[in-house]
Order: sequence, then structure tokens, then C-alpha cells
Amino acid sequence: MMHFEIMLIASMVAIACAIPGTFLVLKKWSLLSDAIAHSILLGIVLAFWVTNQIQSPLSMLFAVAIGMATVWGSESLVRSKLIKEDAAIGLIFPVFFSLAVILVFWIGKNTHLDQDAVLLGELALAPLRRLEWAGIDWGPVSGWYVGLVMMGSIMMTIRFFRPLSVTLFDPLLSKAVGLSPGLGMMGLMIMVSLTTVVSYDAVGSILVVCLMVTPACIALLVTRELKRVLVMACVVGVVAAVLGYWVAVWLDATIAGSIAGTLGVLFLLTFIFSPLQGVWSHRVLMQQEKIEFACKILVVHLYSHAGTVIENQENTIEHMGRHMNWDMGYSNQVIQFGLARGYFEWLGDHLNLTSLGREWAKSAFSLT
Amino acid sequence: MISIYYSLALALMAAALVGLLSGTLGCFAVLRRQSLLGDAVAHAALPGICLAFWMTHSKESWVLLLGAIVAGWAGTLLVGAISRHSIIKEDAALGLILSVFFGIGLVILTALQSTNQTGQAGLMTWLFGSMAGVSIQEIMIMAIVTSMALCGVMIGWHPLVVCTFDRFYAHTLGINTRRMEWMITFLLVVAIAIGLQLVGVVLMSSLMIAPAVSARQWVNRLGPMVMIAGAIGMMATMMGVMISSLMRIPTGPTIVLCVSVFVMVSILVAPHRGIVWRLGRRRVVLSEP
Repeated sequence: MMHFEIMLIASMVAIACAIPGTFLVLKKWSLLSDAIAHSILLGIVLAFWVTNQIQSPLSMLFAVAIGMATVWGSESLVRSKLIKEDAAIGLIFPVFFSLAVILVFWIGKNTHLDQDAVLLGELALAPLRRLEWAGIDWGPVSGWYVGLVMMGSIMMTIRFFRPLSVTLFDPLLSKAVGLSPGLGMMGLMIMVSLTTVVSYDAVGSILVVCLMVTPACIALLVTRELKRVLVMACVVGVVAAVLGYWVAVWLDATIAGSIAGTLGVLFLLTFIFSPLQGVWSHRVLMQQEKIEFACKILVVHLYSHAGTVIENQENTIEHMGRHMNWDMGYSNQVIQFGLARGYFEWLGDHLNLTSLGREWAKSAFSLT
Repeated sequence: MISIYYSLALALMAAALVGLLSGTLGCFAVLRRQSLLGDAVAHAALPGICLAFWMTHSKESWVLLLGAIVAGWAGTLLVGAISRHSIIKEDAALGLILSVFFGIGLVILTALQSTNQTGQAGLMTWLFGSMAGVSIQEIMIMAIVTSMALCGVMIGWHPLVVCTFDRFYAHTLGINTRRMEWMITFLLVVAIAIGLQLVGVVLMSSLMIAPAVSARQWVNRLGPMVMIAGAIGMMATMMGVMISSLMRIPTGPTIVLCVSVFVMVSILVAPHRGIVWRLGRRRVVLSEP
């Protein structure tokens, strides 16, 4: 039951993060998630000061306010044209975070709010705080918070998919249809702040960043259409959450860190082997195209000499080495490729084009 | 009493060195629009620190420093590789490497803790930074590394400047731009690894960016900017150490708040660029007929 609850919470966090994360990555605002994840600590600490609870409706309110303040602060620094965007993001959040750490230090001396717990999170402790109502155990508190925010983001994204993508990715069109371009950004930032604050207790700030950025990157390497990327990112997040949990059990280490590590490994595999974009697949494709081109040259060569007197000398494998500057191995490779495709066949010791090969050679000249 | 002043003096010396180094090199990061590289490298250094400890079982400062440099360097190379070889942009690559490396570092850290290896508690100070227990040997290491890095900047000053502002022009001058870029990134990684001990992983980015941004407001030339940034970095870190030891609050956040005050003042009142200055000038222009 404990295993199941932890995996469920982790999976819900993964989904709740993947949705806004995809938009952030596409808008090149990935590091805003890092900034918000850190500065939101101030909101949590302030709310903790008032209510003595890490998770409460008030902490959500404060967190959204601080998240918006972070975005607004860096935006207005950029607008003043004194500071570039990257520097502005990197300036604002350390200030909020520092204030939060100092506040934690002052008020947290005899409470259970300590800085590394908030920063790093401990998923293993999440099922311990339970929601009891009318004498019945309703499951872990943080599970409910995370679940609500997850459902909220899913529903909002589906309901407002069009306006959200238009305001985010096409400001001119959104102005033309009467939607303020800032609207999508505001909604997105609220989503990011809420997700971060409910995920904090369970997984800590760094994993929030990881769960927002990495699944979206993996999905983008595999598919290009926005809806598919969103679904794919959610699936990847859930897979990583479950796998990462078992890695953590196996290593007896932090669950949040293991999920991050698992996501890293998944990303590396996708980066290398993805059929669409992977480095390895790209290489294989390049080699294939190279050999296909070589084969085309060979077919054209055969075509131009077909039926002439010197055909027997021109169309042998030895001649290819001299004519095309290919070595024996490469000539063999190209010939094997062409034979497999059925462009030509051996006739004694020289090559003879098939009708398919003749058509291909003609199409190379565009003589169809 | 003497020992308290002694340790405070040591902390101040360390702080001054760290502030000087990160202020100076931060200028290049900011001008090259790589401000957030500091954040990423600082996080990426964690697994290196933990692995170095795991392999050598020593908490010698230079061993951990070496681990931090190697891991941070690997992180930056990966960021470059990802953004070059796929559609993923640099910002996403930074966020990805930052969080994944940090997560792996935490896994190693907690796995070490669960196997009950003694003495890993000291590794936690790298997360939040501490100047409390800095020894004279560590300051020696810091001083050597700092002076080497600063010498590197001075020796390579001309190509460094050209590369920072105009890569293509540098290329036409026959400068090996790729090697220069490696050198700048390496120096940045070193500066970050040194600074980590003082302010911790999370707040390192501020120590890189803030002095450079404040210095930029006052001058328009790179030479003076680097010097002013170094001076601001030094002053801010020393002020932070003083205040934090007087008020007994954590060192790293105090330093960040101090250096942010410098930024705020610079943005407001710096001549020609500052907000107040610009407001004043607008009024003058408006009052003319």
C-alpha cells in the first residue's frame, strides 16, 4: 500500500509538471521553472509563519503571488533595458530564496520546517501525513493537493487549449482575435506556481524543475505535434516516476533524486536512439543516404555504358575503383546495396541493369 | 576571544577571494549571455563532489574541488552537445542537466548516508555554503587558484575581449575561437567551484551575475567593468560575512542580499543608465521649450 501510494503521488506530480513544462520548454522559458521553484520557497515560508502548515490554501495563494512577482520582476528588469533576460532571471530568484532561507533560520529553530527538507523533499514521508475526515482515512494529504492541481491543469489545458496555444505561440494572431498575449503567459505562470507549491512537500524544488523540463525534452525528440508532445511528456514522466521509485528502493537513496536520474538516463537514450532526431539514428540515416547516392551514381554509370562496345570493361567491379575513386570494399558495399534493391544483376563478371535500375537512372536525369 | 576574531578574519579573506574571482569572471558570463550557466554548473558539481568523496574517502578541500570542477565541466560540455545536436534549445538543456546532475548527486549522497559512511555530513555544507570552518590551507588553495585564473584572464585579455563581443571577427583575426571558448568556460567552472563553498549551490548564480550587472551600469568599457565587478564582489562578500556573523544568520543568503543591494543601487542611480538619472534627464528635456 505504501509503495502504491508513493508511486501514485510521484506519477501525479509527474503529470502535473509535464503539462506546463512542455509549454515552458517550447517557449524557451525552461529556466523560469527553476527560478519560480526557488523563489516560491518565500511564499511557503511566509504562509508557514501564519498557519504553521507547509501545505495550506494560504501557502498556495502566497506561492502564486511570489511566482508572479518573480516573473514580473525579471520582466520589468528586462523592459528597463538595463539587464538582459538571462541575467534578470538569475538575479531575482536568489533574492527571494535568500530571504526565505534567512526567515526559515529565524522562525524555524523550534519547528519542523528545515531548509533541506523543503529544498530536497522526501517522498518517502509523504504517505505519513494522512487526511482523516469523519473517522475515515482518506489517504495522504499531499496526494490530494497534487491530485487536485493535476486534474485542474489537465482540465484547463483541454478546455483552453486553443486560446493557450494561440496566445503563447502566435501573439499577432491572438491580438487579431482579441485575446491579450499576456493572458496565456499569466495562466501558464499560475499553473507553474501551483504545481511547484503542491509538489514541494513531496519531491522538492529540484525534481520539480527536472519533471518540468526533461519529459518535455524527451517528447520533443520523438514527436513534433503539440498534443502528442503533451501526452508523450506525461507518459514519460509517469514511467520515470515508477522506475525511479524502484531504483530508489534498490539503492536505499532519495526517491526524488532517483527519479531525476532515471529521467536523465531516459533522455540520454532518446537523445542517442530516437528515430526522429537521435544522434545515432541521424548517423545511420546519413550513411544510408550516402550509399544510396553512390548507388545512384553507379546506376547512371551503368546506364550510360549499357549497350556500348566497351560495356564489358566499363561495368566491372575493378573499373569502379579507377573510375569513381572507390576502394574495393566500398565498391562491394555499393553493389550489394544495389543488388538488394534489384537495380542491377551480375552478368558474368560485369553488371547489367534491370528495368527497375534503368527507370531509376532515367529519373536521376529527370528524363521521365 | 582571539580565536573568534581569527576565524572571522579567515572567513573574510576567503570571502574576499571568492568575491573577487566570481565578480571578475562573471562579467564574461553576463556579456556572453551565459548568466545561467553559473546556476547549472553549480548544481552539476554536486555529483562530482560526492563521487570524489566516495572514491577517496577524504574531505580534503582540494579533492572535493577537483570533483566539482570535473563534474561541472562535464555538465557544460553536455549542455553544449545537447543544444548543438538536437532541436532542444540551450535553456532547456541547462535546466535538464542542472536538475538531472543534482538529482544524481543527491542519490549518491543519500546512498552514502544509508551505508553509514562516517563524515559525509560535511558534504551538506556545499549545498548551502558555509564559511565557518574554513582553514588556512583552504584559503591558500583558493588564493592560488584565484591568482592563476586572474593571470589567465590578463594574459589572454585581448583575444578574450574579442571573443566575448564578436566571435566571427575573432575568427577572422586568426584566433582559435573554440579554444578561447573552452578557456572561458573552464575559468567560469573553476570560479563557480571555488564559490560553492561560500554561498552554496543555489545562490552561486547570484554571485556571478550581480557584480557584473552592477558594474555594467557604471561604465561602458570592459576593462573598468571587470575591475569594478571584482571590487563589488569583494565588498559584497565581505559585508555579507560580517553581517551574518554579527546577526548570526546563514552566510550564503546574507551575501546574496548584500550583492543584490549593490545591483539595486546601481540600477537606480548609475549615471547615464540609471533609472533615476534617466527620469531626471527626461524632465530636463521636457522643460526645454
